[in-house]
Amino acid sequence: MSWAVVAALAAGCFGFKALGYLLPDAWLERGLLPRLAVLVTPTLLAALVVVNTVSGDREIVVDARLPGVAVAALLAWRRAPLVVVVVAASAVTALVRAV
Amino acid sequence: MLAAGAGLGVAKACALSLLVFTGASQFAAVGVVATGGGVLAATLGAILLGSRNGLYAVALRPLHRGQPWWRRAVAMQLTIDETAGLAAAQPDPRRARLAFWSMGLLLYACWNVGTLAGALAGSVLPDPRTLGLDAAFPAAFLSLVVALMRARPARAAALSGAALAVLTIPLLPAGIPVLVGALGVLVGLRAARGAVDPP
Repeated sequence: MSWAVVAALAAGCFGFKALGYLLPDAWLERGLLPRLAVLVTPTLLAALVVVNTVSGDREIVVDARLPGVAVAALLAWRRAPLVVVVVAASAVTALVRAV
Repeated sequence: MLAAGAGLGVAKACALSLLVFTGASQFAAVGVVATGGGVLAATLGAILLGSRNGLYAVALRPLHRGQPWWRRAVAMQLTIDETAGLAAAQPDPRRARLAFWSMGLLLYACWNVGTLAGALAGSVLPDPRTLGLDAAFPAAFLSLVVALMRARPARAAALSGAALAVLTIPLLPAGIPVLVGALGVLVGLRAARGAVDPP
């Protein structure tokens, strides 16, 4: 990976972040875009959760991550604090791996 | 640590965390390079993955209205999954701003310190998997998304997105399934409309 690639990644990612803030207000006052924007956060986060839990090298891999994340889901649903959820998930996954 | 394994060198790994500051994009780019994938594919995929930050930015615009330009610029860099999720889960704008900035700055510091430490440690520290740390990321995101899923449209969108993403894992290159999951918003829009105009 060359420095040119690092620069491209930086520019591309920052560009998207900036774009969202710099679009003219008029585009966002009414219509589809604001409603989409509100829904996109939970949707993408949910997709990220499952992809990070079961993806391997272009295949679905069920491993020790799953029980960890399942425990996280339960704790999150019960409104446990972020730190508790993360530590519990890591601990469960590590335990399952050690067994 | 991943970057060191892929032969990136400490400087590039740190530059990625300072400048890109988008975990999924960084992992995607490094992951593809590490497995010998084409650099172009890695770059495009990683940037596309970062496009969701643009949508978060649209959602977070009201938070930063009226701020000086340099503050908005910093806000831009800090707009990522975690800050968007935490801010969105707050009941009012004041707490949302507080959440965004504290999470953003804290995360920026930790992420970069962590990257430096990881890159330097390289192969010395144990495999993150033995510590269960590969479950930590999805667990953290889960903690954020559950709070956002109380409303029906959001729930519908999130579940559809998750399903779509999982189904396309075997079909598409790294990073793309998450973007496909974004289509779940269409289901959410449908659910919202259904709630507003009953038959």
